[in-house]
Amino acid sequence: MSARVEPTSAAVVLGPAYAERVRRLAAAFAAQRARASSASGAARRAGGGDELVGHRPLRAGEDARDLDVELYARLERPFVRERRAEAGERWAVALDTSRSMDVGAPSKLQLAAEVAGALAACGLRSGARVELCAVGRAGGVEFEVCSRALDWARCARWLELRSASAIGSSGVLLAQPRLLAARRVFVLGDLFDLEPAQVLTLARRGRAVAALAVLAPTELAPPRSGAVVWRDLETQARAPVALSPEVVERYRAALEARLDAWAGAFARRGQSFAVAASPSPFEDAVHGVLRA
Amino acid sequence: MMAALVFDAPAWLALLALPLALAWWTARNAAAPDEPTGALELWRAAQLEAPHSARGARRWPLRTLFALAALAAACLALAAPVWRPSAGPVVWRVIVDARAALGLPAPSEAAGSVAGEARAQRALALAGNALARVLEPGDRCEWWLVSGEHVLATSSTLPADWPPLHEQLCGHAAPAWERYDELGTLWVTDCGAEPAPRHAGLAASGASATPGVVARWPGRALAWNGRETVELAEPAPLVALALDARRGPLGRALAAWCSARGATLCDPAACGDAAALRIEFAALSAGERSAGRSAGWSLAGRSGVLAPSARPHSVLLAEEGPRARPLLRVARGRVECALEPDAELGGDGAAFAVSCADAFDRALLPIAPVVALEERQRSEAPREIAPRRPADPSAPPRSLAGWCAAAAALFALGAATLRR
Repeated sequence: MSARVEPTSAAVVLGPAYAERVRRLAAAFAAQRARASSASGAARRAGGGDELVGHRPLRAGEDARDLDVELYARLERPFVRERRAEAGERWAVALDTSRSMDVGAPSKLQLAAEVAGALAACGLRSGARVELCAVGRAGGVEFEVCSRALDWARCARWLELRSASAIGSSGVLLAQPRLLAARRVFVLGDLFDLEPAQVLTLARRGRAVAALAVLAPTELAPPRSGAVVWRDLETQARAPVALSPEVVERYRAALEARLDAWAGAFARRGQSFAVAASPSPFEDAVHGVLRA
Repeated sequence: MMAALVFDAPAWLALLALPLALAWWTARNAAAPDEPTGALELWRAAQLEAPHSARGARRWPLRTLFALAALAAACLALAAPVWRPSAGPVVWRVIVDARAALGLPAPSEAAGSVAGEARAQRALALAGNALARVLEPGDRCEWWLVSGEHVLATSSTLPADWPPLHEQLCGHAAPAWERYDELGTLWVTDCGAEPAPRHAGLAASGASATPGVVARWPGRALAWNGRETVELAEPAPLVALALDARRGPLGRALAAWCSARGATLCDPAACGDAAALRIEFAALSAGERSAGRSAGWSLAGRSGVLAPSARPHSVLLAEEGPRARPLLRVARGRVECALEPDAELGGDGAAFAVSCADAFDRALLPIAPVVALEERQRSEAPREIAPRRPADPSAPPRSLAGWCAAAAALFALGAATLRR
């Protein structure tokens, strides 16, 4: 087998079915959040919690428990109550676009971008203002701010313009003041260039932090035999390795220890951490980071 | 003592392409694939306790190496390698072509060509370079200027002015190359020699079409202008004969021949190198008399001794008796007489005049450097074959085919028994 020539970084492609999948996911998220709010109804009636901002027609797949029966009795058309979870809430999504995100097929960046888009949809559906940030091709941090549901398409276009071309972008992103101003912060990337403590510095009172480690299949489950020259896309450093069960087991143990350290650190601070393989559906990854 | 590895059946070496192709194919397939990852540090950490894994990623399977070595050794065995101890210091013999064509300009398009350089100079420079590559301490060179089977001159240093102008006047032939086709010999010429050398080296300057005179008679010449041959008028040739020698029988015959051929008699001192034919008399020995007889005529008188000549010549008159030394010798551009100019002519004077006229004709043509038409039209690229060091005849060659075959068998056995 010949040494493979690495292609230029693959573009993010959000296919035609993606928008529909995101819409369903956001609706389910909104419904789930509403149920959670209903569970604490007394508090809501006392003035705290979600604020009723209006009504809208019931969409297919939505939870019928949000149906406003009084309106239905009067108009004989299904309307649901629309609430703003917390007025003025800001979400920030930090997307790692370092070159190492180009690994895998589909690439790690592809899944991370899909998750970012889905998180933006969920945030907008909840009435939050969502800010996406990533390091651009020129090396500077670029932002896309969405405050209305109609803005989501612009978010998606912005995500499609991302490419895995930056060097060491994660640390730069975490230092952005906009992340400090957000109520919820999502860090999406392979996290190999970060330590848990660096991300958890963002976890202050009133601010939730969630991290998603996106890994390629060869990183999660490398082949157990043969020979390979591992190459770091950012530094172009190489490590020739004759794969044997012994060496692969040692690698997997080291990887598991690292991921356990991340999960343990986040759990101790009450924050959310998830791991996803790049070919997996983005819905699973979104559920993982939103469960907190 | 130097030694050389030669192959008696070198055609089999072509089979070496097989193991080479296999090696290339194996290398292509054995190369570890290049895989990008973000977890390079984890792999490095995993390798710290198993450093052999890095070497293993680069190493070829030993079995493959043994199989390739077996194939290569088998190919070498088929080519019949022979170890020939070579002689010690070698006397390299350089045979320089004396043909007039060597005086034509060398092709100007050849690499490293010098404008206006003669083919001989170019070929000699090539020969000097070729020898510099093979000469070892203690070796020396002998340079021979050869026409046909005649060695015209020798030199122990590179003769940059060979062949000299007066030799070109003589219309020399190409050396009898096959006589000099041996190891330790280098041929110097303009075009590829025929037959091609099997053992000797070759330094050929190359040739390009060169218009010029291709034939010449007294007062006329035939020239090739690049497309066709045309006739040209020429000045009368000069024949050098000392004034005091013109009264004798040879002088009188020469004067009659000059008036018939349109040649002009001149004094040797006045003609210089321009003389197309020279009549020379040997220094007389005290008290020596000689006589010679030819068909219908004879000459007798005081005589001297002609110096030995390496040039092609013919004897017109020889001394009567057992010594039979030449008294009249004819070569291109020169007639030499061992008798005094006033020698007594006996017998038929007309027969003597006819014999002399025939000899003068043969000696005069060509009267200036003339290159044959086919040599002027010839066009060839420069060519070099490195001269080879001769083997030492006292040390028998040793065949290495058996050793190569044994190595092939051992490697094959190793490849068959190794697991990986």
